[in-house]
Amino acid sequence: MTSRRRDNPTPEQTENLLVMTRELAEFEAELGLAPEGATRTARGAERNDTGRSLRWKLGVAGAALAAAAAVAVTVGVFMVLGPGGKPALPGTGSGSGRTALLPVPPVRPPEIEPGLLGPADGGDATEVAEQHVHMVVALYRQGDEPRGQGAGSGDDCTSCWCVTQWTPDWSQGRGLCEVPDAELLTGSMDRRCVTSPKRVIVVGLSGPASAMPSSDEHARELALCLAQQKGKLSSGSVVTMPGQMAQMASSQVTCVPVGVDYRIASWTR
Amino acid sequence: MHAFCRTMSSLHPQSDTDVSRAAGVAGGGAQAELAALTSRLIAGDQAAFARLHDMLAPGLTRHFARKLAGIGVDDGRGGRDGSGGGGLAEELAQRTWITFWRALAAGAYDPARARPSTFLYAVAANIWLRHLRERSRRGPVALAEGADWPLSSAADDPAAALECAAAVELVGRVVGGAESEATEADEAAFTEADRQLLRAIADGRTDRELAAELGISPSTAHARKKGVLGRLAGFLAGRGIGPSAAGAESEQHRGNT
Repeated sequence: MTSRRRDNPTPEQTENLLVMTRELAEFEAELGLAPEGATRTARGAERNDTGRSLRWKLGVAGAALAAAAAVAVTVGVFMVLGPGGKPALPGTGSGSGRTALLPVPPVRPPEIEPGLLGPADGGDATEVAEQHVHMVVALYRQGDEPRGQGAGSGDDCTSCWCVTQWTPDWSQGRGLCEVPDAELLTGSMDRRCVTSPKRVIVVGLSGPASAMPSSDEHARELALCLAQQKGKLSSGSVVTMPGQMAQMASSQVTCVPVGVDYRIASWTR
Repeated sequence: MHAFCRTMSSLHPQSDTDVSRAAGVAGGGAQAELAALTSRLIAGDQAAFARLHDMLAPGLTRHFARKLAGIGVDDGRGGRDGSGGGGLAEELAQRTWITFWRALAAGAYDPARARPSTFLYAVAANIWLRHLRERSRRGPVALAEGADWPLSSAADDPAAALECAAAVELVGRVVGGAESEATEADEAAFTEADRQLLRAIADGRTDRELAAELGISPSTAHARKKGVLGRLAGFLAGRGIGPSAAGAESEQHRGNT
């Protein structure tokens, strides 16, 4: 093995290493390895709907406690209701007084994909399919490279951007504009396709399923078009405080399908 | 399933104690078992291979299935239900296994530098980065050597994976402080306040969030963050951890063209 001269890691690379310590703890938990010696940070589960951060923060002991609590609650409910008893919400007891004392289970209800639900009262199934859906497309650029590539349009080079796309898991029925910038950024950084992006543009899309991009490629083209039309691909037009998100006001842009709302947030180191 | 068993004869023997020490086995448990199995595997024990595969393969596939689901890829074969049966997830997991085993076979894994699980994580992270690159048709495909550091887009480069694992582990020790296997030197390099700030950065907090927690302005929070990251970078460089200078020069050259 040859010995190479080493440079100091850049702040971006150092920050990336820090993030990787968190990911390592999640990875080890996922593989069923005890997180002994793993780095734990103070961030709670509120950052992550999947509960990964909670497992990471609390470790196996915390998960075991949560499981024990859930079992205790289940047993408690069973004892109060008895076999065949009808469930009642806490505080809405039917006069026995006992149901009102039931602890609220500290667990979230299972998430059910809209597509799995049938029409509520025998209505038309297409109404369910036409519910609003969300999509997020993130564009990343690492450093300043590769300058000079693309269509020769200087820094407005669309081929310089690495793109990922996903369906967000926004719980509690939040709309596009109700999701905090930090959550958008964290979600994007978790899915980054370059190691240390210096610039990230997040495009959130929301609209009827039939009007949304039908393929990954379509979503990427739409996001690039949007970012281009809003001047986001041009570095000079991105005015953000370092490390902070900037949200642009929505306005009509020609490449957005009718009925689709969008939101663009950008982040620059 | 165990198609890589034939490579076992070429594995280099290394001592159990080295791997166990690297695993930080003070608490024993699954990490200790993993370290022991890795050690036996390196020594050519085929039964250890089967046990290690049974122990980690489902979780590794689940890991990739979750990552795929996160980017909206339905694996089509049960990847979303957490069973780990997804086709692409399984393929990525297999690629990770292959790289992991080849690294062991080539003697490229040094237990003194990183725990087996950290090394496996680094290999998986490189495989995932490579997958995202391949998937992103508009990605910047011609990055200079070292531009991805601490990861490597050369997904099957065990030396890069080990370097990455060592770096992540060292940073983990620094951030973990007394809770981790930090040495006195690691601990002394940063104050508890530094470590709290580093943990917050690892959690992805923005300057604004840091400012709110610390009761300072965002610009001050940014300055503190920059300062502690700079000191951490210097700390790492002092231990020979950082991107290769050749890569940086190459990057610089690209930037000027």
